[in-house]
Amino acid sequence: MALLEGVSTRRISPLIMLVNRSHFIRTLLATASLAWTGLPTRAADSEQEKMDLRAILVWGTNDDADKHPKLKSIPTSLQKRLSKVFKWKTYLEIHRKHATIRSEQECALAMSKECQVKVARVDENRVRLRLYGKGKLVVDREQSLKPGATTVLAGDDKNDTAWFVIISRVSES
Amino acid sequence: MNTNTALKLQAYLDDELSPRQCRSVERILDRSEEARDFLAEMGSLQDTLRSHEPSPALPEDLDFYLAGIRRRLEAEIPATRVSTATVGPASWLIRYFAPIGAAAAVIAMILIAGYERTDATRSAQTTVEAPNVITFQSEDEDFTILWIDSEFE
Repeated sequence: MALLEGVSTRRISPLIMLVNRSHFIRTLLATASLAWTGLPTRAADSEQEKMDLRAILVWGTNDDADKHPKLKSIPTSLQKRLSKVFKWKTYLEIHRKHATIRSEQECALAMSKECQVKVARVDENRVRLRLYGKGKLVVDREQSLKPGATTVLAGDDKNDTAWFVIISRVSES
Repeated sequence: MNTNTALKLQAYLDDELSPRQCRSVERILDRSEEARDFLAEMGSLQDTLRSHEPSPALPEDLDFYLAGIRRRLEAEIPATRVSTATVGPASWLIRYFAPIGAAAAVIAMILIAGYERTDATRSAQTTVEAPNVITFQSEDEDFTILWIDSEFE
């Protein structure tokens, strides 16, 4: 019986090895194919998690633009939108910044010596905005910001002027 | 010209009459010079008043202006008004049930808060609405303005 068992073992073992090898190969192929199909999805996810932003610090004044030749006017489309709400005659661009934030990241945009905006991605279409003025937290707010949308943080300034931090979500297209 | 005719002429000038009444007034105007003079004088007066009427202009968009008024009103109205007098035959009931009701409300709030913390922790943590911020949403909803009112700082 023992002999028989020994014979049978010796005969079967190559078979088992073959079966094991084919199983190993199948597993390897399946893993590789899963990894292959997963790669583009992960890349797409990472693209979706990306958020391109443009922030512009703008000064609103009733002066003519010619009076401040060093500053350029903001784009006409933006000027039209602001003029629907605000009374200032001229809107001049002080500083402009671009940023890309990804999942669970926060970027700090120093718009001037005294003004800083921190933007964090909450989800696909929402951000958390924190505005600091002279180092002090002025606004802390979760805000919808879809591609193409704009959020304006604004306040009045001395001599009947105003400041605006215009944060736009840049569309990928 | 009597008062009734004068009133009719005034109504005619203000375009308040029916077609039939208009025809009646026009017949009066055809035959009465006094009526024509009165109508001309009233018309001139109306033009003068219109041209000198001050037209109030808002410093900003109407919605934005109204949002500011609303926020100021909300800031002025106390959040809760507590009634101190409990008069009437059912006052003992109120006295008895008020503490129980308050305790039940507190328990319900704790339960709800606990549930929300597990479900929507993020929104509870991140949204801080300051009283000095006026939010204005444009019609196309792709344009939001957060106006920080320095008067409230």
